[in-house]
Amino acid sequence: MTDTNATEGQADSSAEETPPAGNHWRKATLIGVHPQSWHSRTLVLDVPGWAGHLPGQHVDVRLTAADGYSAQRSYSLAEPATPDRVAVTVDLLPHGEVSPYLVESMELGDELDVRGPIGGWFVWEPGDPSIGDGPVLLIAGGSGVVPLVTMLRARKRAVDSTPTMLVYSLRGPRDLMYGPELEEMSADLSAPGSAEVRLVYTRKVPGGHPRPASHLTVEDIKPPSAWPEPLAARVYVCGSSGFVDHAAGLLHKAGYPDDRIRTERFGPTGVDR
Amino acid sequence: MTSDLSTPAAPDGGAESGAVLDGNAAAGDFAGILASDPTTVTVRCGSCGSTQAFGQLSACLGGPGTVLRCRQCEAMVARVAKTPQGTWLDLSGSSSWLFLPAPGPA
Ligand SMILES: Cc1cc2nc3c(=O)[nH]c(=O)nc-3n(C[C@H](O)[C@H](O)[C@H](O)COP(=O)(O)OP(=O)(O)OC[C@H]3O[C@@H](n4cnc5c(N)ncnc54)[C@H](O)[C@@H]3O)c2cc1C
Ligand SMILES: [Zn+2]
Repeated sequence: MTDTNATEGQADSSAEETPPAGNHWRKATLIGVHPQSWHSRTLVLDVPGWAGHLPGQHVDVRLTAADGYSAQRSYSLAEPATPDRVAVTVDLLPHGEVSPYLVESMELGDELDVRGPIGGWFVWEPGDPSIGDGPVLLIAGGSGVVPLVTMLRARKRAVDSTPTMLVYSLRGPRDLMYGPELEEMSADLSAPGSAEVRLVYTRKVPGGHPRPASHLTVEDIKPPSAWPEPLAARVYVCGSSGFVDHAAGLLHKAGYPDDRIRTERFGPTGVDR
Repeated sequence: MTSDLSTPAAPDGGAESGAVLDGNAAAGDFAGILASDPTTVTVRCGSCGSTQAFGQLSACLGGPGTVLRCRQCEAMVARVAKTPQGTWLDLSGSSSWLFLPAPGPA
């Protein structure tokens, strides 16, 4: 270990083929935008050298101003892996520092920095042996739906048939992200890649929706009748801390042991320098 | 004010001031130090002895450093702080870290 300095240059080339996850910043260029709700949009970024990621992982995004001031936030990867490409779906926090820029101002050709992929725990890869034949329950609050939709997309891409249900809690119809895609995915439950989707409106219910407005209840997370098992083999919960704690409480009430539940809390991740 | 994140109204997705997140949110900083994904590491709390995935620890970000706490007893188990002197990693609140074997063909 005495002459590590001298050999530092070679240390890299002898390292494992996978570089340490998520520890260096890469340039990313905005190449596409897709609106997802009244106040959210997907940003598609060209990231040369991006090798891929697992559904559920996130990236750190860094914006740097001309004077060198920079702000950093975490965003879930919004699409299954595609070489050289990273997508994130960002919901506007009206008085936030970073999300208004990403949702309203950033233009095609603009650049930012990303690092990742980050996190190997809140992930679901189709075929995961620890999940077996499932079923899998996905519970989303607000923009917490982003990594869960990425899981659904990856499952569809892999033509994986693990029974899956998404329970998505949101305030009202204007907050619905991925609306058309979720509708299509749940329209014909015998189609490959389809999934049961339950929308849980907490404030304002659109006309024709059967469930009255209320917070997520234990009824909402009851398994669909088609499931072979009463409890999911794995549950993923994503949303704000308050939402995740509430959902975890309901899951315990429904009989889920801790080791079947994986959670991820969205919230202020601000690092400003 | 349509964002699900915009009013302090848990549990429908509300903002809590100084919200406590989880280890997933702290993973970017720790990954840079550990040269491996921290979120799947099984951490044993030095105070109460319970074990939990790093990804499930509670995490406070955004202060001078990131602090991770045990979800059972709230004791501080790990802390990372960036200072002009360098990066401090304090693991004194934990008794062990179990890194899973790297995934891949056995
Ligand atoms: C692992 C992880 C993944 C994430 N993935 C996504 C994603 O896919 N899409 C997405 O839209 N967001 C995601 N977030 C949240 C995101 O990182 C930012 O917190 C969010 O975009 C707000 O940033 P901002 O700069 O606009 O607001 P800020 O300027 O940071 O905050 C403005 C005010 O709002 C509060 N606040 C900030 N963020 C939140 C929040 N999320 N909930 C409640 N209050 C908040 C702050 O305390 C502050 O008072 C994720 C967070 C984590 C930890
Ligand atoms: Zn403890």
